[in-house]
Amino acid sequence: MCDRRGILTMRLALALVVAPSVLTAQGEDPLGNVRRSTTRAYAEWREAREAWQADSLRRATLRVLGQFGGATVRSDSTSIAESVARDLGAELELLRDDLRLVLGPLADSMLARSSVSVLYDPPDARWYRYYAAGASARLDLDGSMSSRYFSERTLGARGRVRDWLDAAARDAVLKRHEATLRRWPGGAPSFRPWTDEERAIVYRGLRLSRSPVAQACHDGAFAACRVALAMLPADADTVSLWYDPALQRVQIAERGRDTIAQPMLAPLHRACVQRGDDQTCRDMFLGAGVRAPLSQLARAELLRLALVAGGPQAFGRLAALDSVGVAEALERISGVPADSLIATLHAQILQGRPTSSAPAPDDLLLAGAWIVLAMLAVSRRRIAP
Amino acid sequence: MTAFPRYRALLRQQLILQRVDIALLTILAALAAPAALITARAFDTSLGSAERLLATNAMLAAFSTLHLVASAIFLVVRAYSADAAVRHTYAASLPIERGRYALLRAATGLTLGLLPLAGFAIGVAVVTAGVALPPALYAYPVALVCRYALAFVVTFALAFALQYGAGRRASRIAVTMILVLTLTVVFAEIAEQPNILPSIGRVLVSPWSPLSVFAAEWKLFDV
Repeated sequence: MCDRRGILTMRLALALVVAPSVLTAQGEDPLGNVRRSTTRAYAEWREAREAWQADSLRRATLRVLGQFGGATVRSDSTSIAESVARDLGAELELLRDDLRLVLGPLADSMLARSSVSVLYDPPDARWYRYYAAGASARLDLDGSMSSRYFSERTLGARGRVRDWLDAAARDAVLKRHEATLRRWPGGAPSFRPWTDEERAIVYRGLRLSRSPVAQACHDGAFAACRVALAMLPADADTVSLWYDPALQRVQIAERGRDTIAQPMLAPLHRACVQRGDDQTCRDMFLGAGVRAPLSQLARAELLRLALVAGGPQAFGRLAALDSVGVAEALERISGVPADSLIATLHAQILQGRPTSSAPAPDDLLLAGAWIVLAMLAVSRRRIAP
Repeated sequence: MTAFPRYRALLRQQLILQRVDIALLTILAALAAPAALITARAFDTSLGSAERLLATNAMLAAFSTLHLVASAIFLVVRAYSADAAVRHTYAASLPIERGRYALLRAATGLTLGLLPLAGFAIGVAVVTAGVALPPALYAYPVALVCRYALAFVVTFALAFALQYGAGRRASRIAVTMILVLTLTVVFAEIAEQPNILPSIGRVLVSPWSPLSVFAAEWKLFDV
């Protein structure tokens, strides 16, 4: 008995001695944290995938509410989901009109392969706490999937819903015609005309660009606009045409305070600015991100203008294009000279010039009316003690 | 005695009463534009000069809005408090109706508001003259000062109507309004209806609202 107790005591003592070293060894495992986080991430991913699959199964059994814009809209029987689905349906009708204008007959076949499923989602998760109770909508636009959460109030902001559908449609078109669209304009065309905000963004981008072609394009030189829009042969050095080596060096020098502070960049900075090494300047310039004088937004709009001008068969001509220059491609699609399209785009961009803060006559009238009203209210009554 | 000599007398009285306040408000107004420029530069040194000047607009909008609202309320409340302190005996001793007296007070308040406005204009002019504008960027000092003046007059009129219409209850009404707004926000958060606050904001700055004057872009520099 005594021996047994002695053995137990020894075991306990041994355990007490060994335990800290084992714990330390575990703590020192250099890959321990990585392993644990990888396992956790995998578990989370698996859980999310299972939830997604379960959600998809639920959505597949939803009843069909109707065909809107050619797309099938499903929802569960809760009033919120139905109202969200109907509002989305109305937006899909508008999207179809926009798509038809740009894609022609392709729009109908694309929407016929599309569906929206809307499910009531009680705001149980923390993420949803910031939203009113509503419904989550899953859009399958010709194989391009995306999801959004909608409260009934969110749908009041129709612009955001429209942007969502528009972005999904662009994704779908880009997936099908990636080879044609990636090189130029670098994305799908937009399906609706620019908003005032987008016009102002492009105008600001053009005016704030340091590239001389931006200035020339703004002043109406369409040849410069072609360069700014990257309508150049495939082998052209676009960056140098936008910013010559001297301008690249000037911009690197201006960013000096940020780059000199970084030990790895300081020697490169010296090589570019002090020794005048053009290649180093170019590498640094490219590394910092080159801002196009006219962004992808402008190129996508130019393509939209060409497709609209070209009529219902224009997108078919775009899809069938062989390797030709951008200007020639636009002319083939639209059937009008490229400069005419650029002129239209240029006019749109100039409309984006922001107005000053000066009060408009309407503002003055309204403010005047309120001031008169306030003063009348005071003068007509006895002053309160 | 016609209206103008009375206006002059009231103006002199209010100027004497509020000379220190007005001097301070004018100095602060003059500092708004330079402070906005300095703050925008301090916040993000990585921005290019054009972007940095555009970032100044947001700062300037915040500073000038705060300043003009404070100035308008201060000019109204201080003048009323001075009258209330002597139980409005000065106003009662004048051979004019109280309504007319109130309008004269409004006129003197607006006149004194010209001083902070002038200070703001000077600050804006100094910044505009002192900044080397990059190509394609323009300064709009006159437009900004006009916007400031309009917003000031509207705020002054609203504050004046509230103060002289409600008298001593004005502060209680203002506090109640703030309280109602705060409680709405709190209840919206509890009831998980976060869209209420943006809706209230939209109503306040809707085109027919007197506060719509604040909704426009306040910018000194732009393309």
